Amino acid sequence: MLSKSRLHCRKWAFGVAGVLAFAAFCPRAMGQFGGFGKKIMEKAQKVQEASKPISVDQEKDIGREVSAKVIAAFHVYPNDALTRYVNEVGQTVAAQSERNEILYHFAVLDSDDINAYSAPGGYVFITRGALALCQDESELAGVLGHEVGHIAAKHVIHEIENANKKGALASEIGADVGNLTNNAPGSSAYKEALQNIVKNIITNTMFGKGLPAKDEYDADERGVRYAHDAGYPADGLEHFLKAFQTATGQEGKRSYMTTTHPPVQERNSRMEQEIARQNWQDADRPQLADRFATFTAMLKPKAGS
Amino acid sequence: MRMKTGIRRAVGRMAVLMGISMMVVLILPGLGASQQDQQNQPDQQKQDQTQTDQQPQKKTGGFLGGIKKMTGSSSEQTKETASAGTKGALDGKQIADMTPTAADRQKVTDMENYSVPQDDLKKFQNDGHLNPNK
Repeated sequence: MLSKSRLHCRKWAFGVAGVLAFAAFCPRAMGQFGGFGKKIMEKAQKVQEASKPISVDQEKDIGREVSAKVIAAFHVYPNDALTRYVNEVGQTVAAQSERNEILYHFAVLDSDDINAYSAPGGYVFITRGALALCQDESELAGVLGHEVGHIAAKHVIHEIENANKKGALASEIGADVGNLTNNAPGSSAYKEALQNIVKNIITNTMFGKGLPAKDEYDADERGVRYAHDAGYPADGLEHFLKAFQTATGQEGKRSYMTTTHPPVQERNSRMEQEIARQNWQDADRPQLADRFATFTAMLKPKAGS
Repeated sequence: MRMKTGIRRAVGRMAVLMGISMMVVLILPGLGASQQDQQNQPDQQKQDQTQTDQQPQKKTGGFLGGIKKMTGSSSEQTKETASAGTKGALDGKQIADMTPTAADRQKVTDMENYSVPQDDLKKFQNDGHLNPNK
């Protein structure tokens, strides 16, 4: 049973919600109600502006800025042959993605950390540490496929848009998305909004709490599918994650992947189920361990060291 | 005391009624406007697509061309931090607060412009018995 004062509060809340809902639906008509109406109209307009979807060009601007910061932090690994090889594998896998209105770009980061990153708009990075852990080309294809999957599904972009819709009035991100989608590229408001969104992506999604688990499972499923459709064995990513678990668990190597992704066992179990469901257990497919070793030999720890 | 409570209740009721009546009376034109917004959306997507199609032809090669010349930049100043980061010191906030240098931005541009020639990619795929297309 609600107390009288709580009941009274609820009535007020309903009333205010009603006015706000009305204002959101019909901002122009609110102009009739003078100064108070104007204020509500401005708020409603803010909600409406912040609800605009992020365009492909805006997505690329975000990705470009995220990539610049990632490169500033980790540096690109200076090996032309390896860069070309990663691009060849990456382009082969990305050709199987559903999203082909953007171009995918691949680079190797000079970092021991075992990880791969993707930024909106088509930017994919894999670390030297992750490459050293891969045993063959099919594992690399699985890892790159997972990252391409995030971009193809616009996971990060949808995360920003959803956070925005949930709290456009209360949260900063709401104002930032509104300023990004409603201002001309190059304007100071656009640039400021871009910087804030990029900081949010880096601190929360890439190196913080990560994406929702459902997005990671979705990227796994896409990665498996792209690798399989490209002609690789479908279980490359699964093998890589097993090696990752051993390396981070027993050898104590660090990775943001442990904090930003769901547990490896759960991911692998889901991938195994998907591969079985699709009947993709094809033992004859090329793992291409020799070709992989040709380009990555210098990354492997030398015997006895 | 009673009177005050009565006034409060009356004001509360008025607020509820005002909200509901405004929604009912004026919601229809608002819905009309939002439908119009939705109809405009495909046009925006089309525009995005056209802009994407108009991208210039990508250059080939030269992806890491400038990397060895990168000196005296703020990126160079943060190299110590970055190296430490790879061993566990660099967190998300530090990365987010980085100020990329012109050289760092150039690497992103190089990354965008890099492409494997189509014939070479085809050969790579053939050698590995892979599928070139979807």
